[in-house]
Amino acid sequence: MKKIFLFTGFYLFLALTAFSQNIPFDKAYFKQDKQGLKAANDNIKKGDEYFELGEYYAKEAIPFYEAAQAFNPNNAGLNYKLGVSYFFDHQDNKAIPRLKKAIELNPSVMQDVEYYLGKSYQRTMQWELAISTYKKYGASLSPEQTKESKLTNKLIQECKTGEELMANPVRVWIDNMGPEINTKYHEYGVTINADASLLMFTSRRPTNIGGYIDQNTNDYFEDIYSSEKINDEWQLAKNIGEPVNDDGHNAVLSLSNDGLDLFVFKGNERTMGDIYTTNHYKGYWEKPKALGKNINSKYHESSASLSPDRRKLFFVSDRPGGYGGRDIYMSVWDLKKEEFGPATNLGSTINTEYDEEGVFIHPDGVTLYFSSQGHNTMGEFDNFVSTWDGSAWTEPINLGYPINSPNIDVFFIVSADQHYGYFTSEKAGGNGLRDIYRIEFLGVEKEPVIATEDHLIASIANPQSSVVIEPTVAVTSSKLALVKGVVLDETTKKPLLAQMELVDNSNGEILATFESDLASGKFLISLPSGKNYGIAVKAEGYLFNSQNFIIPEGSLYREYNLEIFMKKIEVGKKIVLKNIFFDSNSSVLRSESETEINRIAKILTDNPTLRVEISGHTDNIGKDDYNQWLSEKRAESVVKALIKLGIPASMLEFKGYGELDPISTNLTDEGRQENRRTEFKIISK
Amino acid sequence: MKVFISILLFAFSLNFYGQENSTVKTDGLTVVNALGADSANYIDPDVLENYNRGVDLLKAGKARESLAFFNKAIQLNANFSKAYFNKAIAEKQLDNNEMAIKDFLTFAEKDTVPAEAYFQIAIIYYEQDKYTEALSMLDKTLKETPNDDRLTYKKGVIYYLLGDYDSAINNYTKAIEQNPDNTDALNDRASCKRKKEDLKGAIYDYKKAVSIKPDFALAWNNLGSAQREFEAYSEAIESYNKAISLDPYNAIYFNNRGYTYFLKNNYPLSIKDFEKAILLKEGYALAYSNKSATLIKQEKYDEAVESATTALNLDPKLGYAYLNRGIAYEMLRDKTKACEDWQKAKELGVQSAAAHISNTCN
Repeated sequence: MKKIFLFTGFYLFLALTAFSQNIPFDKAYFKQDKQGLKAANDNIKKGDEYFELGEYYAKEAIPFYEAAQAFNPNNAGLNYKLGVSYFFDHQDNKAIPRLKKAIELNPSVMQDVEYYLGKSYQRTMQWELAISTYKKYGASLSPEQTKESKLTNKLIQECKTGEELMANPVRVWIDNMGPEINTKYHEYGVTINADASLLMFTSRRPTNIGGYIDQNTNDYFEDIYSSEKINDEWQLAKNIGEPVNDDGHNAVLSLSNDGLDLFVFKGNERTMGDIYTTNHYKGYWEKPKALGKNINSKYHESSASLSPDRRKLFFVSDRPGGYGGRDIYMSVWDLKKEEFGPATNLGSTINTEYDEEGVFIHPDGVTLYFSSQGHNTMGEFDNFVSTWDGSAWTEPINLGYPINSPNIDVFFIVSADQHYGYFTSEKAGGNGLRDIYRIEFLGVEKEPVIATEDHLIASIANPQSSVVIEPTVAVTSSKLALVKGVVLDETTKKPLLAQMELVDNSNGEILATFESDLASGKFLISLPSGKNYGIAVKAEGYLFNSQNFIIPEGSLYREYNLEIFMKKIEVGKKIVLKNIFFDSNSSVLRSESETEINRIAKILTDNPTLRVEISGHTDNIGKDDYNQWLSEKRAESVVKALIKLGIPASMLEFKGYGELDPISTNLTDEGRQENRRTEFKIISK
Repeated sequence: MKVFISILLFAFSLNFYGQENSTVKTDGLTVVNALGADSANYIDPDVLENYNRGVDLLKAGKARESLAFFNKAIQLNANFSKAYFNKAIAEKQLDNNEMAIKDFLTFAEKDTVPAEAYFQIAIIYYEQDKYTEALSMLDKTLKETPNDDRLTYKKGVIYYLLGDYDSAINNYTKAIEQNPDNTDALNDRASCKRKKEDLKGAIYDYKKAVSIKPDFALAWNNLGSAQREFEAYSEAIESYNKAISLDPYNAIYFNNRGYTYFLKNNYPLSIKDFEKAILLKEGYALAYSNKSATLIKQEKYDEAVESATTALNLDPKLGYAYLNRGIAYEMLRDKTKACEDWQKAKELGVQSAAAHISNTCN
């Protein structure tokens, strides 16, 4: 009996020693300060009211808990709740000591205390501590807690990935976009037009339409803001106002390359969130319209990006049938129905059992950026890239540290020239909450060069420099060209709303149609490399304007700036037919000319009273007689092709001018190329 | 190249014929025989007096003044071959090359041992970038003295400078066969092998040269450079150490060792060596540029800009200094200046600059 007593007494002593520091908020411990105890308990109660509302409200609990903590800093439960509240408020440096203290006071204060402590370590990139803490948490789980166990293993893997990525950082400058864009509120979901002159993003600021707060998230409702770059400086962002924003949630998803089409997210109590579209062709944003049922479902749709040819829409949905959570889908524009067709899941290479978000298709049309909580993320959402290789999407690659961090890094987009990127992050050091950052890519490390010299020949006094074998430097650039400019009336110089048809001259396929902005006449077209592009600019009552861009496969990024002056259909007006092609020294029309011939035929059919002259012109290389003959034969070939299409011969004349009527210098290759041309001129109406 | 020429000239300009009736030691191809009162070669005293006066003046570096006396000697005795030779040497020193060639040829016609004259003509042709003619003259010389390893060696040098490394190697090999202790030929053959990227062969020859002549600092340095190119960095440093111990004032050896430390990522020692090279050789632009490269690796970008700028002040044509400074500017986030520097580097033939411009500036 005595032995038993001693045995029990020993363990009781141990228990008291181990937990003696965990002091409950109980009068037995605070007999001398009953009022203080009551105030502390009241504060805990008030804090609990917020704490129990979940992560979005936990920050409101902090002042109450801190007041109680000042009274009794040695209570495991309070340290736990305070630590978790700080964790939800992204104050990991304050969360960590509270959570550690909670464990120290009572290791079993709550089973998930090590989960939160591990997360805080992970978010502050203390990888080894995070892994060991997660392992302790994993060991505390029961065999039935399979979901938690799986999550723990994933988190441990994320830490290992984070360690690896941090050891091999990508060479970038990352800059907070500054107070013109970021505030102490949330900013995210940045989108930018292809020439990086217009930026839009979502923010949850008091200046939203209506100034309401979403009770579910304890944040202001989302609205869309925009900023223009003037003299290389982003201007103070403004709410783009109604009709795009309303008193519900309005988030920007993407701008088209030309900045004239905008996809937005709209969410309210009625819907789970749908994708809408609006445009700026009339010089202002029109009221957004919801996309069709192939895109929007009764589930949550978010994030959308239109391919440069405007044929494919990539978007995110959590509809059933995916790989889990939110997945990325693609829908192809149905030319006949004039709507986006049925959505296709991008498949398991891209989508994971976790959430994918922030899809962005680059202006090159083949590079897909997206955010994911799956793949090899280093924590929360990371940004990834995958390329369409012609038959499938390549394995996504993590964009690396410091673009990605263990916090939420999402909505990555990249400029057309791939020199700059923009993304949203919760990383430390921002203006507050989520901020928008700009990335400047430095590319592969530039190796400095060292040169040496030796006296290679004994009898020669002066040294010879060694041959320096310079490191090979790969040129990384977007394989595309951007064509941007304005469409103006030739006489009034006023901007015109014009339709622009982008044609693959090799097969006559219309790749895309665009419109210029009525207010400014501006347009922007992205031309991925590898094609002979014809662009026809058309406006009611005007002759079409013809442009040609041959962008060889693999050509490096280039920008073209055009001023297109549209000419009215009047006698004496003439246009250069830039998409009429002949072989060298031949008058046989090449097949690539077919679309342009059809275009001329259409004008003549629509204007049957016209009489036009088709003329051929050469540069000054070669003999005059030959040039005269060749230019005439070429003009005749065009006329014959038109007659073959049913245009009456009476409407047509052809003439060869040889080298007599140059429009540019014959001293340069470029000038001579301009001089070799076919023209269309109205001679009577 | 100019320094090479002057060294060759110096070596051979000592080969003028000395005073008659005296023994003049020369280090060249021909040995002056004291003619004295040899009846078969009797020379009038007036001729000798003028000739010897010319020799004295030539030895005193007064080539122009010596000409009058050689001319007088020739005027008095048109067959006195040595007067033609020394007159040619004087003309050569005065850059009257055509006249010098004419006098050397007259000497060759009149003298029984014309090799030295052919050799001198070869040097003139070489200076005038007439390599084929130079080699032809050397061959003429070799006909006279076919086993002279110094001639074969010189032929190897000309082939090296012509970039015909195979022919150079053949001639050096012949010189080595003629004289296995010709360490210059071993060194030079190794250098040809380096040019042909036969680093193992080069290392073998350099090692042979330093084994025959252990105080051959130049060959130790070259051995180090070949070992560095072979990526045997520790051995290279050992070889440079030896070269530096033999010739501690040679900036080039420090520069080379600095580069090897750079390749071993030992940047503090690399910097130390480049600084030593700068100290030893005033205005050593290359070492300043190399120091800037190392400072970039140490992420000391401001200092790197400063060092590259010094290099460029010393040598505005040093493209690598522009390249390096551009890299430092980029890391200091001054893209405009970086791109300007890469553009200059590109214009100066630095190949990687073009890629940097494409990647960053366009």
